[in-house]
Amino acid sequence: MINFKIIQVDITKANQKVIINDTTEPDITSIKGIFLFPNQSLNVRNYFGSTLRLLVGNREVLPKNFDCEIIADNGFKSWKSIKHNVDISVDKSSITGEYLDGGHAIYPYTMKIYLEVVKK
Amino acid sequence: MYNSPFLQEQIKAGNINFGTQVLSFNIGGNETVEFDTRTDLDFDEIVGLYFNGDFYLDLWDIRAEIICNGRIIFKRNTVIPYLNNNNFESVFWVREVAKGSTLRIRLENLMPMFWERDFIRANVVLITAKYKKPVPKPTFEYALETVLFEIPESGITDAPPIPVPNAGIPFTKDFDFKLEGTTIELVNLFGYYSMNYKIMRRSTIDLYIDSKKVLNKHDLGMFMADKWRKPHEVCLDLNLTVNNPRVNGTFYHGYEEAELIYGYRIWLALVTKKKL
Repeated sequence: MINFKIIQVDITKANQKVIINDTTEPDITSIKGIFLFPNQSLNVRNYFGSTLRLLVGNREVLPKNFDCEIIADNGFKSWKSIKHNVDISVDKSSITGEYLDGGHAIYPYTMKIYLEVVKK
Repeated sequence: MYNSPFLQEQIKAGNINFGTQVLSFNIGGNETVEFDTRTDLDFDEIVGLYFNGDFYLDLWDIRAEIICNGRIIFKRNTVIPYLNNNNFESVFWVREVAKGSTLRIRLENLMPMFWERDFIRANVVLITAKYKKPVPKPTFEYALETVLFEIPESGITDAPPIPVPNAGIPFTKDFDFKLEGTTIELVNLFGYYSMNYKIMRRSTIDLYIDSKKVLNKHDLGMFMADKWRKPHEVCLDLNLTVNNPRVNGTFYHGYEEAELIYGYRIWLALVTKKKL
């Protein structure tokens, strides 16, 4: 079955920082992959300079200053090819971090963090 | 279906010689073309098919039915998404014994001609195989079931671009279909779209299969195949076994800019697998 957890980050102005504070649902047992799906772009580098730090529980999955472009859909690559594969067991675990906009997008926009998950 | 393990095995074993048989048609606006012929004699099986043409064929709504040996190998009203690509990347893999077999091809163009075209030239390309050693009979049959949204609801009746009513205002559209087939496995889900990727970028979908929520406000653009991304690269795994499933849900058009956008169509394609 298709299983994703989606964390939505809404950006309204350039260089905005958004704090991420979420928890995995009780039926999610592990996280298998991460990728980003913004709601604008294509061939312009709207996310140049945008970074994401992400922690699951106490484990750092994406370090501070991690460039979003590396794992963000740009309209030409498939989600399977940009997905960052991980294998993290979770049990109502916290998901924390921060998204920092790089100042090159068209505002407002939405960045969705897709977590590929395994459910019970 | 679009990545045949059987053929991979045969290629690895050096047991297969591929070929093609190309059938060409001129098809006009709102026209149906039906053609009876026979397959060539110098191959053992049809192992795949794809479509191409002499223009941007994805602008039209062309559907095909292909019957070989009296068996439907490409189902009527299944759209020809592969017309988009005009290349070998998105082959619909089948297996049908064919050596001088009867072949009936029916193409329907559900849209009028535009841009001063009187007709478009479409090719049905059969990929053929001749085996050096005999091969086992297929045990599974793959098929493609499609669900089509047409937006605006009135359908596309004129040359694009046409304005969508209420352009600039996001809207929703419910859909509800019943697919035929007992004890079929729904293997994958992917989609195709016509025209404007920007619409996909901001649109989402809720999808239910037999009342089970499969997608929840899921970004449509993520699993849409197009000229850059092949179906097997974007598809979502389903692995559900169903009987005559109901496929319903809501499409959320998210494109907010008040400019002319093309009328467009979205197909959801379900890859099904059935034991023979």
